[in-house]
Formats: sequence, structure tokens, C-alpha cells
Amino acid sequence: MKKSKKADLSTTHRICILGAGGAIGSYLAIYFHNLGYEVVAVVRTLNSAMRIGRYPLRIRSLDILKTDVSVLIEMFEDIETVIDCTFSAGMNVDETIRDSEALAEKIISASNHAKVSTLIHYGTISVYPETSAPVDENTVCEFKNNPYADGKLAAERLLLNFESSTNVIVLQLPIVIGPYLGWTQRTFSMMVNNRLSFPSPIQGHCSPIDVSDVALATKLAIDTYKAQDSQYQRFLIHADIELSWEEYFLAYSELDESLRVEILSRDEFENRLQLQNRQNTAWSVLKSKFSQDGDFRQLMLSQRGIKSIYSVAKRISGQSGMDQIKGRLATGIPASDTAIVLKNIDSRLLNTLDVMPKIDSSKAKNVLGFESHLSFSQSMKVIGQWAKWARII
Amino acid sequence: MSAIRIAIVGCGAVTKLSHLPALIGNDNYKLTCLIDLNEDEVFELASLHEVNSSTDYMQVLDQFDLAVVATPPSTHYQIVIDLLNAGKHVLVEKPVTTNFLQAEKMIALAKAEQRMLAVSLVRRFDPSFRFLKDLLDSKILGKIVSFDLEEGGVFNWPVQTEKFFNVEFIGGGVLMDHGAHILDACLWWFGEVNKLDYKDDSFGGVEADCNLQLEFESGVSGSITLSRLRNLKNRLFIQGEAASLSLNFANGELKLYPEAGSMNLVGTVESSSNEIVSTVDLFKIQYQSIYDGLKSIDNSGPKMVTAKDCLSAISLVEKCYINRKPYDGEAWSE
Repeated sequence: MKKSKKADLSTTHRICILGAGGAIGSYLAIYFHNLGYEVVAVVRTLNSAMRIGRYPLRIRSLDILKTDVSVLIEMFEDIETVIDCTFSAGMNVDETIRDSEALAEKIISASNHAKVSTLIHYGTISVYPETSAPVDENTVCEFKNNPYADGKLAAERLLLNFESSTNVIVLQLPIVIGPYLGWTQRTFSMMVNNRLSFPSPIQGHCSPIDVSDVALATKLAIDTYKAQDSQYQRFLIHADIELSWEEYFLAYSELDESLRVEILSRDEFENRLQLQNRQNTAWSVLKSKFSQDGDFRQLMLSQRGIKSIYSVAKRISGQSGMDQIKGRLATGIPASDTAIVLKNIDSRLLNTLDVMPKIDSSKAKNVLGFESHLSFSQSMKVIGQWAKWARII
Repeated sequence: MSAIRIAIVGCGAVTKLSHLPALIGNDNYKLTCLIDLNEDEVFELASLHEVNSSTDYMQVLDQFDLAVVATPPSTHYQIVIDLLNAGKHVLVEKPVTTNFLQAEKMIALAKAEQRMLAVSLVRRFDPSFRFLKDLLDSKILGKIVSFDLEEGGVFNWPVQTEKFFNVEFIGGGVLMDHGAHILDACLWWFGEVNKLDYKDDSFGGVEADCNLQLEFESGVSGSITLSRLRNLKNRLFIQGEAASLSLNFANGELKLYPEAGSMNLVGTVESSSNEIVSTVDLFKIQYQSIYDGLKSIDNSGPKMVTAKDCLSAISLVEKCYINRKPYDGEAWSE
């Protein structure tokens, strides 16, 4: 059995959360504080600490990439568990991989030196290949030239190969939803600004997990491995919520009248264009553009989106006008007159929607005893309450 | 007229972003010294501005006549007392102090020493705030019935110390910080408060979101919501018996809706120079008001805000914290 000096210091479990200014990190800091853990919350910038600052936590400001590892070792001196919620997005894939490896190496190195019992690290299911068969922890992962997935994979590989007396537990997550969560905020943003279309054919699975389930899985992992010999373990965490992307977005659309959407098939969309504005050549241009590309099957438009497309069309006088609009969309200008996104514009988002595989999470269930405690509708109810409070809808 | 020798005690974000830019190039003032406990940082900043630096204001008393105190609120009291006892005029950042009794002592000492004790409540110099004050005084809205004020956004102020989250050290959160401006303005506009109900989201740390329900002696009832977590409407809506009014804090847009008739008035409050007034501009106006006050110059410009002027706001903040009710869980779940 592993003998940790940390267990002798106090009966209070001391946790250090890195990246505690982010949505997942701040949720975990509050969650573990409320469970009676002593929490050291590390943020890169203090202005991101307003949520956790409402609690009597020990808050530290550190840019870990720029911090000497000796500072981390000193900080981890009385810490039993380090929870790593950091991610550094570089300017490109190579930079992201380099920074992710540097972060992971510093954190595991300092954890090992300070004799931290367990390091929890968050991976992503995006590291798995596009496949129709379910993936599990034994499925081979390869780099995809996708900054987020490749950065995560690089960090995981570094942790796997690092000789350490610290347990390293990697929890691989699907999209995480909940108040303040990036995916939730991005979904609202896409719907409010009508920056949404579906690729054709729609593939993959939308397997959202509520942030409270991430916290639960984290606690179970800590409890399971705190007295174990050092080891590296990886778990796919899944809430057993099987949704199509269409169902996912429709659930958001039902939260508020302003987000109500219509889902149009390609034929319906073309008919709509003809019906709405037979005499306007602009609509013919739009229609021909969609027909030529032929690369979308469904299009989701909110009420605002339908109004906006009229104004887009009115500005188009020919092919060059269409190219101009596409160019503006490609630069991501969220102007009211650029409210519809063609398939090939936000390729990163569409790839994400496309390729998320089906998850076999039996290992987490059998080893950690993890089962989701919240249904998708319960999660959406909380999200709706938060979004109204936050003036998002 | 000779320039006033000025030193700044505390060189955090508000000094760097507001006080120094407002003083640079101002012939009415001669910046002589920057003072901060962080020796390296204050030396670097002072070198940049070609002035002296120190870690102890008591060691450089001969170098200034007016001191700006821009340290954390819990330290204001002792520093201001020391400076007034040394015969210095003081401009203290808001909030003046974290409790009412201390504020009274500071004001009494300033009076006894015949020194100026001004407070950096620069929103009082905002043209839209001043215009609103004139409008309310003119009774154009008739008897005021109620108001609803929201101000807040996802926090982006460059906090420089972890002590910002130490409630003992900092005194409070969004109410103490942002509320100092807003409560001061509401008391200026609507008079004294005789009943309050206050809730915030502190769970033992500093609150980031709060709501006040107020009843004023004038009969006005009001709701104030402040936040560092969400992007609020940033506007004030006032319901009067003759007309209602909304003021957008972000752009100074003012809408007037008379009860009678079908016409509305929409316009933007501008300064007399028709220029958009930035935060630094408000600090420049403040420094002009202090110069005029200290040099006994009588003009039509706004008068400086003294500590005595904002005693009611200090008292109100203190009452809020004393009578505080917590949100039941996260605010959105209520």
C-alpha cells in the first residue's frame, strides 16, 4: 500500500485545483469546499476568481507556464490531491502541443517531488478516432491536427510516460454543460446569433455531461485511488445521455421564445427561398449557392435568423456579393447581417459535432462506481434558470 | 498660481489606470512621489514618471502637500489619520473607510486640522449623473414613485493582489466597491433611506452579486442590483407620476416618457464640449474641482466630493452588511 505523508498531517483532505478560474475548476473548488475539503484554488488571473472568491478559499494567482517548478513544489507541500483543470491554447497545433506538454510536465514533476498522493487530469473524448463502433479506454488514439484534441492527447501521453510515485488519474470527458460552462455559453451564443448549421450527413453522438457529474466522478476517483499504489489510469466518463445534436440544440431552443428554431430540410429551405421572394434575384443567388455546394442537409434557423437571412439576401447582387458575404462570415464577424453560417465556415465546430464517438464507459462504472445523478432535462432546467439570471436569454 | 505638490500612496490598478493619466500634463499639480509597499514595483513606476519613490509615506512628508490614498479600504483609516495629523490634504479612494465611526473620526480630524478630505467618487462628475440630478430637482418627472437600477458585468478589472478576496482586508465585495458609487449617487438623487432589505451571494468570502430593496424618506422605493458575474442592463429606470425616464450608463442615452400624450423624448447626455467623457476625464474633472477648492477659486464647475458628503453612503453600506441576508444557494436558483 502506498504510504503518503499527507495523510498524517491532518484529517482534513487538502486539495489544490489548478485552473480554478475556469468554469469546471471553479465548480470543483466550490464543490470540494462544501464537502469539507481544504481547497487551494490557483487561477492564472485574479479577475477570473470572482465566483470562487465568494467562498473562504485560499486563492493564489500563478501563470503555471511561466512559473518555476520549485514554486509549484512548495505550493503542493501539504497537498494530498492536485486537480488539473488547466489548458493552454496556443496559436496553432504545434504550439498547443508544446504548451500542453510543458504544463503537464511541470504539474506531474512538482506533484511527484511534493509526494502528492493523486493527480486528477482531464482529457477529452475528442482524442478518439472517428468510428461508428463504441470507443473505450483501450481504443488507440492518434493526433488529428486539431489543437484541442492534440494538446490533450500530448498531455496524456506525457503523464503516461512520466515515472512518478503520484497516482495519475485521467478523466476523459465529453462536452460538459452547466452554468458558466464554455459549451453551454457557446451553444447559447450560436443560437442567439444564428451561427448554426448542420453538416450532412449528421453523424456522431452528442453525449453531454453535467458539470456536477464531473465533480462526482472526480470525487469517486480520488476516493478510489487515495490508498492505492501509484499507477496511471484513464476513464471515459459518460452520463449515459444519448442525444443527437439536433435534440441537444432543440433542448436549448425550448428554454426561451427568443431561441425558438425551425429545422428545415434542404428542399424545405429552397422552397422557403422561392416562396418568400420570387422576384428577388438575391434569393436565387443564395439558392444556387446552397444547391451548388449541396453540402448541408438541415439548417437550423431561429426566428431572428430567418429575418436576418432576408437582410443578407437583399445585399447580394451577384456572385461577387455572395463571396464577399462568405468572406465576412469566415472571419467570424457576428454582425446582424451575417447571421447564417455556411457549412464550410466554422469547420472546427462542425468537425466536433461530426466526430464525437459513442462511449463505452463501463470501466468508470465498474471501477469508480460512477453513475450520473442528473438527467439531461434536470440539467437543462438549471441551465435555463442560470441563463435567465445571467441575462443571456 | 503655483502647482500643488502631490504624492500617491498605493500604486495599484486605479493609480496606474486613472490617477496618473489624469495628472500627467496637468500644470495645476506637481507629482513628486509615489509610495507603495512593493519596493521594486514602485521604484520602477516612479522612474517611469521621473519622481521619487518610497515604501513609507511618513518618510517623505516634506515632499507633498496633497496625498492620494489608493490603498485597500481597510488601510485607509490609519493612513488618512497619519496624513491629516501631518497637516496634509487628502484625496482618498472610495470607499472612504469600511465603517461609519472611522469615517466620522476622519472628518472631525480634517475639520480640526483645517485640511481637505476629499473622496474619489468620480461618478458624481459624470455629465449624465449631474444632468439627472438637475432633472430630478426640476420636478419634471413629478413625484418620484420608484426606480430600478442595474449595473454590472463579467469582472475584468486587473486585480493585483490575492488580498482582494480577503474579506477582512478588503472590507467587502461588489457592494463596498461598486456600490460606493451607486449608493452615493442614489442618495444624492433621492435623499435619505429609511428602510432597506439587502441580499448577496457571499458564502464567507467577498460578494460578487447583490440586490438592495430600498425605501426613501421621500416615499421613493428602489431596487439596486450590482454584479461582477453577469452582464446587467447597466441602466436606471425611474417612474414618476408625470413621466418616467431611463438612463443608459454605458452611452449616456436618456429616454423620457411623459405620462400624458404619445410623444417620447430620446437623447444623449453630453458634456458641454460634446466630447465623450472617459473615466480618466472624470478624474481630470475631479482634480480640477480639488484645485479650485484648495485655491478658493469660485467657478461654475462641479464641486469636489468631501468625505462628509458621502457619510450617508458609508452608513448605508454598513447597514447592508449588518442586515445582510444570503441568497438561498446560487442566485439563479431562487
